Amino acid sequence: MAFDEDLSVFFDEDDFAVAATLNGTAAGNVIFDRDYLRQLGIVEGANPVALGQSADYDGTDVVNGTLALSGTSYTVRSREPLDDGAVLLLQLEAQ
Amino acid sequence: MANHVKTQIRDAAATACTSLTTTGARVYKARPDDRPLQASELPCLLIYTDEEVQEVATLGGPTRRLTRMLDLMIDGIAAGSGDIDATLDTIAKEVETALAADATLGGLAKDLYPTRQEKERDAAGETPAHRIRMTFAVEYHTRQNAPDAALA
Repeated sequence: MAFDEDLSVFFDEDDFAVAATLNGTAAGNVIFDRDYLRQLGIVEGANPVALGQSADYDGTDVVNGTLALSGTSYTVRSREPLDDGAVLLLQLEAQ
Repeated sequence: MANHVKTQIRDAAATACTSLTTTGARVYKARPDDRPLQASELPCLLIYTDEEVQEVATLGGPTRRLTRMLDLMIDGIAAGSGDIDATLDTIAKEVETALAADATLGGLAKDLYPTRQEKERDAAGETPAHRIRMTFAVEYHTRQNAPDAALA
Protein backbone atom coordinates (compact mmCIF):
# COMPACT_ATOMS: atom_id res chain seq x y z
CA MET A 1 0.00 0.00 0.00
CA ALA A 2 1.40 3.34 -1.00
CA PHE A 3 1.75 6.04 1.62
CA ASP A 4 2.86 9.62 1.74
CA GLU A 5 6.29 9.90 3.20
CA ASP A 6 7.75 13.08 4.63
CA LEU A 7 11.13 13.31 2.93
CA SER A 8 11.96 16.73 4.31
CA VAL A 9 13.73 15.18 7.28
CA PHE A 10 16.39 13.94 4.86
CA PHE A 11 16.95 17.47 3.51
CA ASP A 12 17.45 19.27 6.79
CA GLU A 13 20.01 22.08 6.81
CA ASP A 14 21.11 20.89 10.24
CA ASP A 15 22.39 17.75 8.57
CA PHE A 16 23.79 17.57 5.04
CA ALA A 17 21.43 19.72 3.01
CA VAL A 18 21.78 23.35 1.97
CA ALA A 19 19.25 25.93 0.90
CA ALA A 20 18.95 26.53 -2.82
CA THR A 21 17.22 28.87 -5.19
CA LEU A 22 15.97 27.99 -8.65
CA ASN A 23 15.92 30.84 -11.14
CA GLY A 24 16.12 33.29 -8.25
CA THR A 25 13.26 31.83 -6.24
CA ALA A 26 13.67 29.82 -3.05
CA ALA A 27 13.39 26.12 -3.84
CA GLY A 28 13.71 22.95 -1.82
CA ASN A 29 16.86 22.14 0.07
CA VAL A 30 19.37 19.94 -1.71
CA ILE A 31 22.30 17.76 -0.79
CA PHE A 32 25.22 18.96 -2.85
CA ASP A 33 28.17 16.86 -3.99
CA ARG A 34 31.14 17.71 -6.15
CA ASP A 35 33.15 14.58 -6.79
CA TYR A 36 36.42 14.37 -8.65
CA LEU A 37 36.04 13.59 -12.34
CA ARG A 38 38.54 12.75 -15.08
CA GLN A 39 37.20 13.90 -18.44
CA LEU A 40 38.34 12.46 -21.76
CA GLY A 41 40.84 10.45 -19.75
CA ILE A 42 43.19 13.43 -19.34
CA VAL A 43 41.34 16.52 -18.07
CA GLU A 44 40.96 16.97 -14.34
CA GLY A 45 37.57 18.21 -13.26
CA ALA A 46 34.63 17.86 -10.91
CA ASN A 47 31.08 16.65 -11.23
CA PRO A 48 28.68 18.83 -9.22
CA VAL A 49 25.26 17.32 -8.50
CA ALA A 50 22.36 18.21 -6.24
CA LEU A 51 20.02 15.67 -4.68
CA GLY A 52 16.57 17.03 -4.00
CA GLN A 53 12.92 16.15 -3.66
CA SER A 54 11.21 15.67 -6.99
CA ALA A 55 8.21 17.65 -5.80
CA ASP A 56 10.45 20.70 -5.39
CA TYR A 57 11.99 20.37 -8.83
CA ASP A 58 9.24 19.20 -11.16
CA GLY A 59 8.71 22.32 -13.24
CA THR A 60 9.59 22.87 -16.86
CA ASP A 61 11.99 25.58 -15.79
CA VAL A 62 14.33 23.19 -13.97
CA VAL A 63 16.45 21.91 -16.85
CA ASN A 64 18.54 24.81 -18.20
CA GLY A 65 17.50 26.82 -15.15
CA THR A 66 19.88 28.38 -12.64
CA LEU A 67 20.36 26.63 -9.33
CA ALA A 68 22.19 28.74 -6.75
CA LEU A 69 23.52 27.34 -3.50
CA SER A 70 26.23 28.33 -1.06
CA GLY A 71 27.07 31.39 -3.12
CA THR A 72 27.62 29.56 -6.40
CA SER A 73 25.33 29.44 -9.42
CA TYR A 74 25.02 26.44 -11.71
CA THR A 75 23.04 25.61 -14.80
CA VAL A 76 20.90 22.50 -14.40
CA ARG A 77 21.95 20.21 -17.21
CA SER A 78 19.58 17.33 -16.55
CA ARG A 79 16.98 16.08 -14.09
CA GLU A 80 17.37 12.41 -13.18
CA PRO A 81 14.68 10.74 -11.02
CA LEU A 82 16.08 8.10 -8.68
CA ASP A 83 14.51 4.82 -7.60
CA ASP A 84 10.75 5.40 -7.18
CA GLY A 85 11.10 8.99 -8.37
CA ALA A 86 10.48 10.69 -5.03
CA VAL A 87 13.98 12.15 -5.10
CA LEU A 88 16.05 13.20 -8.04
CA LEU A 89 19.55 14.12 -9.01
CA LEU A 90 20.23 17.41 -10.75
CA GLN A 91 23.34 17.35 -12.91
CA LEU A 92 24.97 20.77 -12.72
CA GLU A 93 27.29 22.78 -14.92
CA ALA A 94 29.33 25.78 -13.85
CA GLN A 95 28.19 29.21 -15.05
CA MET B 1 73.83 9.51 -30.46
CA ALA B 2 70.84 11.55 -31.52
CA ASN B 3 67.28 10.63 -30.61
CA HIS B 4 65.22 8.44 -32.89
CA VAL B 5 63.97 10.49 -35.82
CA LYS B 6 60.38 10.06 -34.67
CA THR B 7 61.35 11.78 -31.40
CA GLN B 8 62.97 14.55 -33.42
CA ILE B 9 59.77 14.79 -35.49
CA ARG B 10 57.66 15.09 -32.36
CA ASP B 11 59.96 17.80 -31.02
CA ALA B 12 59.89 19.68 -34.32
CA ALA B 13 56.09 19.49 -34.49
CA ALA B 14 55.84 20.82 -30.93
CA THR B 15 58.13 23.71 -31.82
CA ALA B 16 56.08 24.50 -34.93
CA CYS B 17 52.86 24.44 -32.90
CA THR B 18 54.08 26.53 -29.99
CA SER B 19 52.77 30.09 -29.69
CA LEU B 20 49.68 29.54 -31.82
CA THR B 21 46.94 32.06 -31.09
CA THR B 22 44.50 29.74 -29.29
CA THR B 23 46.80 27.33 -27.50
CA GLY B 24 49.88 29.51 -26.95
CA ALA B 25 52.69 27.84 -25.03
CA ARG B 26 50.38 25.14 -23.68
CA VAL B 27 51.90 22.41 -25.84
CA TYR B 28 52.64 19.10 -24.13
CA LYS B 29 54.62 16.23 -25.63
CA ALA B 30 53.78 12.69 -24.57
CA ARG B 31 51.86 13.89 -21.53
CA PRO B 32 51.42 10.90 -19.20
CA ASP B 33 47.92 9.88 -18.13
CA ASP B 34 48.86 10.24 -14.48
CA ARG B 35 49.40 13.97 -14.95
CA PRO B 36 45.89 15.14 -15.87
CA LEU B 37 45.42 18.56 -17.37
CA GLN B 38 44.37 21.36 -15.04
CA ALA B 39 41.89 24.05 -16.03
CA SER B 40 44.76 26.56 -16.16
CA GLU B 41 46.43 24.44 -18.85
CA LEU B 42 43.54 24.67 -21.31
CA PRO B 43 43.10 25.10 -24.20
CA CYS B 44 46.15 23.09 -25.14
CA LEU B 45 47.78 20.72 -27.58
CA LEU B 46 48.97 17.20 -26.79
CA ILE B 47 51.55 15.89 -29.24
CA TYR B 48 52.56 12.27 -29.55
CA THR B 49 53.30 9.65 -32.15
CA ASP B 50 51.41 6.45 -32.73
CA GLU B 51 51.63 3.76 -35.36
CA GLU B 52 54.52 3.55 -37.80
CA VAL B 53 54.75 1.34 -40.87
CA GLN B 54 58.12 0.67 -42.49
CA GLU B 55 58.98 -0.56 -45.97
CA VAL B 56 62.28 -1.53 -47.48
CA ALA B 57 63.17 0.99 -50.18
CA THR B 58 66.57 -0.29 -51.30
CA LEU B 59 68.69 -3.40 -51.05
CA GLY B 60 71.78 -3.44 -48.91
CA GLY B 61 71.40 -5.35 -45.67
CA PRO B 62 71.47 -3.32 -42.46
CA THR B 63 72.30 -0.16 -44.35
CA ARG B 64 69.26 -0.49 -46.59
CA ARG B 65 67.01 2.53 -46.84
CA LEU B 66 63.66 2.32 -45.05
CA THR B 67 60.60 4.33 -45.93
CA ARG B 68 58.70 5.03 -42.75
CA MET B 69 55.09 6.25 -42.50
CA LEU B 70 54.43 7.63 -39.05
CA ASP B 71 51.16 8.78 -37.51
CA LEU B 72 51.78 12.09 -35.77
CA MET B 73 48.92 12.74 -33.38
CA ILE B 74 47.93 16.18 -32.14
CA ASP B 75 45.03 16.52 -29.72
CA GLY B 76 43.48 19.93 -29.23
CA ILE B 77 41.75 20.08 -25.84
CA ALA B 78 39.39 22.83 -24.73
CA ALA B 79 36.79 23.24 -22.00
CA GLY B 80 33.67 25.30 -21.69
CA SER B 81 30.14 25.75 -22.95
CA GLY B 82 28.82 27.51 -26.00
CA ASP B 83 30.27 27.04 -29.46
CA ILE B 84 33.35 25.07 -28.47
CA ASP B 85 33.05 23.30 -31.81
CA ALA B 86 34.22 26.53 -33.40
CA THR B 87 37.11 26.73 -30.95
CA LEU B 88 38.20 23.23 -31.93
CA ASP B 89 37.95 24.16 -35.60
CA THR B 90 40.13 27.19 -34.95
CA ILE B 91 42.69 25.03 -33.16
CA ALA B 92 42.72 22.69 -36.17
CA LYS B 93 43.15 25.60 -38.56
CA GLU B 94 46.09 26.95 -36.60
CA VAL B 95 47.80 23.57 -36.31
CA GLU B 96 47.28 22.65 -39.96
CA THR B 97 48.61 26.01 -41.07
CA ALA B 98 51.64 25.82 -38.81
CA LEU B 99 52.62 22.35 -39.96
CA ALA B 100 51.98 23.12 -43.63
CA ALA B 101 54.46 26.00 -43.41
CA ASP B 102 57.26 23.42 -43.46
CA ALA B 103 56.10 19.91 -44.37
CA THR B 104 59.66 18.64 -43.92
CA LEU B 105 59.85 19.77 -40.29
CA GLY B 106 63.26 21.22 -40.81
CA GLY B 107 64.46 18.52 -43.15
CA LEU B 108 63.45 15.53 -41.02
CA ALA B 109 60.52 14.43 -43.19
CA LYS B 110 59.92 13.84 -46.86
CA ASP B 111 56.29 14.86 -46.50
CA LEU B 112 53.61 15.61 -43.93
CA TYR B 113 49.86 15.93 -44.46
CA PRO B 114 46.62 15.59 -42.44
CA THR B 115 44.75 12.30 -42.80
CA ARG B 116 42.01 12.33 -40.18
CA GLN B 117 40.25 14.46 -37.59
CA GLU B 118 37.70 13.41 -35.01
CA LYS B 119 35.96 15.24 -32.20
CA GLU B 120 34.87 14.03 -28.80
CA ARG B 121 32.93 15.74 -26.04
CA ASP B 122 32.63 14.82 -22.37
CA ALA B 123 29.70 16.74 -20.93
CA ALA B 124 29.64 14.97 -17.59
CA GLY B 125 31.25 17.59 -15.43
CA GLU B 126 31.28 21.07 -14.03
CA THR B 127 32.74 22.29 -17.30
CA PRO B 128 32.36 20.18 -20.46
CA ALA B 129 35.64 19.07 -22.00
CA HIS B 130 36.20 18.79 -25.73
CA ARG B 131 38.86 17.23 -27.91
CA ILE B 132 39.77 17.34 -31.57
CA ARG B 133 42.18 14.55 -32.45
CA MET B 134 44.21 15.34 -35.55
CA THR B 135 46.25 12.69 -37.31
CA PHE B 136 49.05 13.63 -39.69
CA ALA B 137 50.92 11.18 -41.88
CA VAL B 138 54.65 11.81 -41.82
CA GLU B 139 56.90 10.11 -44.34
CA TYR B 140 60.57 9.96 -43.45
CA HIS B 141 63.50 7.83 -44.48
CA THR B 142 66.40 6.36 -42.53
CA ARG B 143 68.99 3.67 -42.92
CA GLN B 144 67.90 0.51 -41.16
CA ASN B 145 70.91 0.71 -38.86
CA ALA B 146 70.63 4.42 -38.20
CA PRO B 147 67.10 5.30 -37.08
CA ASP B 148 68.42 8.50 -35.55
CA ALA B 149 69.45 10.06 -38.87
CA ALA B 150 66.85 11.27 -41.36
CA LEU B 151 67.77 10.82 -45.02
CA ALA B 152 67.09 13.46 -47.62
